[in-house]
Amino acid sequence: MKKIKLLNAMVIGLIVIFVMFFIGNIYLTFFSDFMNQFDHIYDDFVFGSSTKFIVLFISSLTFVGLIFIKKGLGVTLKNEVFNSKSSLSFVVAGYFFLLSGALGGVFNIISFIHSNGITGVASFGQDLLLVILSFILFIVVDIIKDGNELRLDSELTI
Amino acid sequence: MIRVLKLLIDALFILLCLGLSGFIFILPFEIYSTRIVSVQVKSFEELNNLPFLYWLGIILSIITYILFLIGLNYLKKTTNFFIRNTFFHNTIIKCLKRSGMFFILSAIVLSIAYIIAWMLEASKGHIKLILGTNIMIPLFLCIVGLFFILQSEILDRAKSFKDENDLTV
Repeated sequence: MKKIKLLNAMVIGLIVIFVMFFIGNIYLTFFSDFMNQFDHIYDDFVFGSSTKFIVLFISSLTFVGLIFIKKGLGVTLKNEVFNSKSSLSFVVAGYFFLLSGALGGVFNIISFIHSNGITGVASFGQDLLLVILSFILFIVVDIIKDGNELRLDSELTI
Repeated sequence: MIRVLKLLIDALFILLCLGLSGFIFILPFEIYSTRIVSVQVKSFEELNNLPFLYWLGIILSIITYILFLIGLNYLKKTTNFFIRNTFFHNTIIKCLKRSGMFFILSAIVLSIAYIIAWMLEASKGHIKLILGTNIMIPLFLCIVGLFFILQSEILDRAKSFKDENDLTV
């Protein structure tokens, strides 16, 4: 349970950082003139000035995934590891991570091709890790379901 | 699904190995850059004049990379078992735990490297606090690592339930 609590605390920490990141970005984009001086930078980007909104949208998918992970961990902390309720939250989180990783990957590949390789492929690795995490989440859900059935079986036997 | 997962892990492993070998290949030439420090060098004399903290930043970044690769290698081993449809196996539990531990270790080393990069800036008289994706990466790596450790414990407990059930039958 200690590790679940630690994981829960870290997920909350990351959610807080995400919220600060969103508030900062929204303030700078819509309520401040600060970003105007960087407008010319977006001319070189494949999606132009929409780039920041695309990046923000992809980040928000990861953020929603994290919220569901937090929800799943909360249920796990209340009802032990093997329960039927946390699985749904982890599955939804997995789908959001999968979508975020896939869209991020496509975005990075397009940027890589458009910039003739200047942008590099480092970010692509992070997207791939996100997709891997989503598949791992699906497997975790399967194991939790199997474990729950085995636990019920052994309880019935007793 | 497991085959796709294996393919993705293999792809990431190959991509990272290529990145590491490319970095080592580029190092003696002109430019080297990591996500932490970026230095342009025109001659070997300039290379010797680089501050110690730069070297430390680069070495730590390579260590992070290698630790992450080791973690990923353990994950690769795990998927080999998954493909054979054997979930409740001691090797899987061990590999997942080690993979998680290496991911957490790489996140810790990465955080130290970021602190050094920040100290480098501070030593030049610039102090800046940036809220960007760089802060999220070590935290996210920690979360991934903890998740793998947690998964290994879930598997361990499920395995003990299964062993109990088999014995009862």
